[in-house]
Amino acid sequence: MKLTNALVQVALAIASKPDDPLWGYDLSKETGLRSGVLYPILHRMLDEGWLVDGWEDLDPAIDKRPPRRYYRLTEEGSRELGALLQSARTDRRFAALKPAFAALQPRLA
Amino acid sequence: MLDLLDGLRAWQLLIVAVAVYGFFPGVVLRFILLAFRRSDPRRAEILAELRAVPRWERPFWVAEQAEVALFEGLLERIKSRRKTSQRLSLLKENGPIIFMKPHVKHGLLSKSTYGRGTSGLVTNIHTGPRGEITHIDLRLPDGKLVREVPVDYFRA
Repeated sequence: MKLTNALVQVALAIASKPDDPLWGYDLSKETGLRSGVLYPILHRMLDEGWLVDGWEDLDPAIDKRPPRRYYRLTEEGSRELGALLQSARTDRRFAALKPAFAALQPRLA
Repeated sequence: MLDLLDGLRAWQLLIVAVAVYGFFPGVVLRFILLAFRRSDPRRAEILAELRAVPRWERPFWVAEQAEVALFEGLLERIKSRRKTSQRLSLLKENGPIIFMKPHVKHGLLSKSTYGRGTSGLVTNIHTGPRGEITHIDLRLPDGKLVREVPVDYFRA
């Protein structure tokens, strides 16, 4: 995948909580990306096998809302995102994301 | 006077926009999501996400989904339709296909059974989210149209 600012932002958001299920809306809030940018990235990651998707296990009648679709990081995805973030960290194009990289540093090491 | 009318028109437009996006975002969103194919999980995904969006943000969020639906849903639909018609013409060229196991089709008040070995010509194919063929419509030798038969019935 082409290394873009949006991709790195999504990768950072996912890598910050690799074991948690990820929701489209939460990710867009966290990264500040529009849906038109975020969803294509998520679907490319799905196609590459970096993420798997599923549906929330709830009863719409009881919870009064439909189940949400979640994404989870795969082992392959974890490896690929790690490599992607390592190369992005030294790339000057993503200098503005330094604080996010710093917060993630212990996980990347 | 004309300024006053223009102002009035702008107000009317604002009221309509607030009513449509503000009070009925779910309805508007459902219309927007029609751009995605019926089998596309994004229809249900985006609709479910709406509940997580704070009310005051919903009109803007719904408008944002129009972009997703236009570029992701509609373009994908066009691409998939082109691909589907290519595959359909290939299937038609190959001649009739045969039921490999009996198929029972339940109607509103009727039930039709198509035995193993029944053959028919493919008239349409239905695809899943990844472009895989899931169901087939076919015309039997007696002219009867059988719609949406799962593709498994034609596999050995």
